[in-house]
Amino acid sequence: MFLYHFSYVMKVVLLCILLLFSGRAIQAQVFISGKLVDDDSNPVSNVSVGYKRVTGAALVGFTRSAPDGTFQLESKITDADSIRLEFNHLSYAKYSVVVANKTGQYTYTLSLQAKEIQEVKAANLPIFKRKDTINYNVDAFTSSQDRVIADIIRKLPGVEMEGDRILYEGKPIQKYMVNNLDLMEGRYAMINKNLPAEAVRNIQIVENDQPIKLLDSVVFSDQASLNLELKRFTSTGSGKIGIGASPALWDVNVTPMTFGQKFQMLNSFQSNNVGVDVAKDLRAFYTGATGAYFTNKDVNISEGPNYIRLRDVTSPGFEERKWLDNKIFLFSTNVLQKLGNDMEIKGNIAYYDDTKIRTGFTATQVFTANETIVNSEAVDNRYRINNLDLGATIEKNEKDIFLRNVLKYRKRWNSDLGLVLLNDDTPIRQQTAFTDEVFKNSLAMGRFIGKQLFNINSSLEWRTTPQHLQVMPGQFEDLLNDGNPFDRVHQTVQFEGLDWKNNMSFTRRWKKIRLSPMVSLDYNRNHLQTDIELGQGDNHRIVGGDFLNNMINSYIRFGGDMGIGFEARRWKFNLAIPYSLFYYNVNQQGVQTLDHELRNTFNPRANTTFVANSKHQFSASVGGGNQFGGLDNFYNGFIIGEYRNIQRYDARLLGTKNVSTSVGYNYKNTLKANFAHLQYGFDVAVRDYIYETQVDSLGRLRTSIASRESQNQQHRLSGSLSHFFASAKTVVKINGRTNWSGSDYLLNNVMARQKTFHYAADLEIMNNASSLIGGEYKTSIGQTVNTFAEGRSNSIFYNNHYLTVLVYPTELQTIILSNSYYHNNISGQPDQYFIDATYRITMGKRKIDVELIAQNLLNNNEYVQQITTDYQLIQSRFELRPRQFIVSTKFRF
Amino acid sequence: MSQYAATFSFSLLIYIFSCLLVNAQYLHFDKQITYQLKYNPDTADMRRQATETFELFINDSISFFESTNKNIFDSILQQQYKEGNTFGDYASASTYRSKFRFAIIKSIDAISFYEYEADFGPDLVRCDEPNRWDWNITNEEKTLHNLNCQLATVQYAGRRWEAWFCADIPIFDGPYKFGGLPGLIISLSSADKSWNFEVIDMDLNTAKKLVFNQYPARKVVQMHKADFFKEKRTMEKNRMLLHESKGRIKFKDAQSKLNMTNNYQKYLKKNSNKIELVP
Repeated sequence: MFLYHFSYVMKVVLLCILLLFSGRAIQAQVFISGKLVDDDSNPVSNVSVGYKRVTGAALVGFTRSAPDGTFQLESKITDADSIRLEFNHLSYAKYSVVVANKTGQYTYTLSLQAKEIQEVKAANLPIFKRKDTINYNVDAFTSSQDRVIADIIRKLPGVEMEGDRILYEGKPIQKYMVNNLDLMEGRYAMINKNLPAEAVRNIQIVENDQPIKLLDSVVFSDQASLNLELKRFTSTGSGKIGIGASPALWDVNVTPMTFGQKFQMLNSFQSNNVGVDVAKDLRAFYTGATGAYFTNKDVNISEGPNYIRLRDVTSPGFEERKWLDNKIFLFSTNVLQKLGNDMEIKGNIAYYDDTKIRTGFTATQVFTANETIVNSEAVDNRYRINNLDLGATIEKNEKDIFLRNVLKYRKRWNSDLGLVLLNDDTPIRQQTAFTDEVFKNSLAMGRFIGKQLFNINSSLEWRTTPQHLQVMPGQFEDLLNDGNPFDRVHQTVQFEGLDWKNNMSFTRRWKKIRLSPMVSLDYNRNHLQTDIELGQGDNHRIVGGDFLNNMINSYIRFGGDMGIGFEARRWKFNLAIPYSLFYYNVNQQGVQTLDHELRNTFNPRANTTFVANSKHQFSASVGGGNQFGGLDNFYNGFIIGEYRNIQRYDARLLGTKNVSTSVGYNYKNTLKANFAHLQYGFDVAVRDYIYETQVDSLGRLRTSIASRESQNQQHRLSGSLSHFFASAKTVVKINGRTNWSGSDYLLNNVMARQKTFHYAADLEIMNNASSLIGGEYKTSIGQTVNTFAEGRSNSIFYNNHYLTVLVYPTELQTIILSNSYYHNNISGQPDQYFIDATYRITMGKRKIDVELIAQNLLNNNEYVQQITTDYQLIQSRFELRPRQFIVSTKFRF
Repeated sequence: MSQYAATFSFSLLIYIFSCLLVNAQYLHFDKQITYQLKYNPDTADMRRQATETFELFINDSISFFESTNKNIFDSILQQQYKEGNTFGDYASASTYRSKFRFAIIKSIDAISFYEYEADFGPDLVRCDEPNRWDWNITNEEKTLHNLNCQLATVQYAGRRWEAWFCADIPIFDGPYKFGGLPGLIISLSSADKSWNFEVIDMDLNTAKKLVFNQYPARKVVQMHKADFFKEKRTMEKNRMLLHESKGRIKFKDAQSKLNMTNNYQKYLKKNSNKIELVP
């Protein structure tokens, strides 16, 4: 009995244990399965099926739906009654549901939905294109000899440097920015030549850049901008201190700059007398071609009219360092601050004091129809230039509003002294003083009113430009003093001008078409006062009569224009039809020579671009119309412009009609680093006047205007090709241009036509593949053939070679040998060969360069060249800088 | 069914499938992910680090993974080849050098690893393995590139790997052979941090056309992964002798042979860290 009960109890216990375990086993396996379908009940495969705790963020497990839409997963969560299922697929809306944490089968429907997923962006190839931006990775183009960013930009395929100006695909860049801020407003040479290359990570060229956010989807742009992406927000800069002989030489440059996220600053102090014209770094390169009506044109102050000058000798066409005799002190400060509400304020001050000496010899042959007049002059001139520039800009550039006000002030004051020995026996002394003081304010505003983009531009410029020229002994005796010689002649000129321009426009876009009607109103007024004074001993008299000007000229212009644009995926088309009505008034010495004279002009122009694909692009443009000559040359009293040039003009408006056309082709393959462009243009202009020149036996010129029709026309063709051979780290650039033109001229009452044919080509090869030796080779070749009256012709041919060899005996030492070879076809002028050498050693962790520079090792002392104008052939000899040695220290910080 | 028969059928299926794949003229992809790889070629010198970028192209059925430089190199050569220049534009193409000559094609079931190396043989070698991963998903989360990521780990080829994946991007793929997580792998590292992949660029709506093994088309030779692994290691060790036997290098004398051999051994050691330690 006991045994029977015991076995019964054991069975029960065993059963309980079994049930307990099997229960646990059953509880451990939770399978959730099911099917996923879309709105049309079709199975959806490849869906990520995950599960997590109901309030948890992290996935605990997952599976993937099969091609038939089914899925099955096992829940490993044991301590919860419910779990959350999540279904995710790129093409369907995410679906999340809470289900019981036990085995079950479910069917869910997923809805189609395009997902916006945050993407990760970056790039790291030598030349990499993303949408409209081409990124050039600086490290790929850097050689050990490159110090500043200009050394790199110069080498980039697709990019050319014309002096300090940067071109992309043959066109100047419209903006130069650092970290997307434009500190220098076009005066970018100062950054380009002083920003250390190692501070820059990427150089970006943004094609079709529209810097004005308001215009972003309204007016397309075919201009490119350049942006330097720095490795970090930083203060940096470079400097140089050099001294040498002979005579005593110095070359100093300290340019610290700061590029922050919202604040940028550049200061520069430069001084040298080694032939480097650092004032050129203050030149603004923006051409103002941006935007149809929002303009960059206000960036530059125009130069004041210069009526007087010294007799000069033509300087050589090659590197200034070889011939410029200068002494310059320059200082510049530029600041940019970005404020909270998307406003930017910029300010700049620049001052320089420059003394230049130019010495040389000129032999001039003047071709008249009957005879050839020959003159020789030995020239020794000293120029002293002082220039002060101040500017303040405030800008707000947002998607719905644009505001920009630029205030500028410039004062330039020069005094020059020129000594001429005429025909080896007559010394002539000239002294000039020139002052130009200008205030300019430009305002541009734009905003959307409804769907219309409304824009106003207004600029006001006021200037005063007093100047005078004194020549001893007096000249033009027959005209001024009844043929009697006299001690000195003094030409005084006072010019005052006011220019006020305004326009207002609307822009409206309908799908692919843009319409922009515009009205404008300008007012311009100038006052020119001149007189000539003769001096003999202590006596002087003002000549008066025909030798005096008191002219007030003004015009009012009413203008209307309709701009039409069309932009599709591949085509872009732009048409402008500006029409203007002018009212001219001129009062000369009390006589109203022009009284509310009415003229009208019409200058339609159109251009189109076709982008075949990412590599090929075609463009064409045509324009024409008529214009009226500036009133600046409207004076009818004689002005002595130069010691042997006296001129006056008949008072009338000069009309020109012209037509110009061009077609272009651009090729770009960033992957293979190939860039090319080809352009052809044709211009023809017909004027209702011609400049008439009378030459006397001493070669002195009298210029006036004759009412005869004259015409000139020109064909021009240019092209370029560049490629980066990355494996050989070599850049090859070829460019060529040719033009042929014809123009009418009138000399000593005879009308003639000058024809010119010109071609030029350059080949440049830059290599930095080896760590032992590198080099750059450039050759230029060109020829100009001029044909004058009576079948006379002149042909000038040149072929120059430039070879720079860099040798690196060790990693820290460099020897640079620059050779230039100039060949031309001028009789009596042997080929010229120049050698410059530099030994550089780099020291320390901060990489300071110490350089010993020897210039013009062969001590060439003069350079001869030939220039032709309409009726003159000028052969000039120019004195070069002698052999000199400089020791300098260059550093970057 | 015996394991051998199962493996055989599986391989046959894969072979048929990938023949169709490999003989395709063009592969079209609509997603492109760029990974940056930072690795230490020599684990004995962890200061030395090398970098390279890789592209992962994805469509609805397969993905294609290879070095960016190799991709550009191949497309330049193939473009030239198509135009009749059978030498290819090596001058331009050779700037795009890569230490990684493989291409990996993944489908839902299989991973195919392709590599051509002239010293190994004239054919394009292919090794297959199943696309099956035993990921361990943890609760660790973090934000990478503004994406919510979660950590998963796996043991593969002799290493432990850590992958941060983003479930908001439901792509079951990642760098190299890795994949099979419910979200795109944003960052992948070996446990000793000597191999690190990270997403640097992403385009989930692109149109990319690739030509694979077309110009020139090489014969595809199937190899067992273990065999390929072993033979490749042997070839690398004896590469110099191989070149000598093919007449590519000539040693001036015994001393220069010894110098060169020693230098080559040093080079091998300096690049001894492989992504897969065991097949």
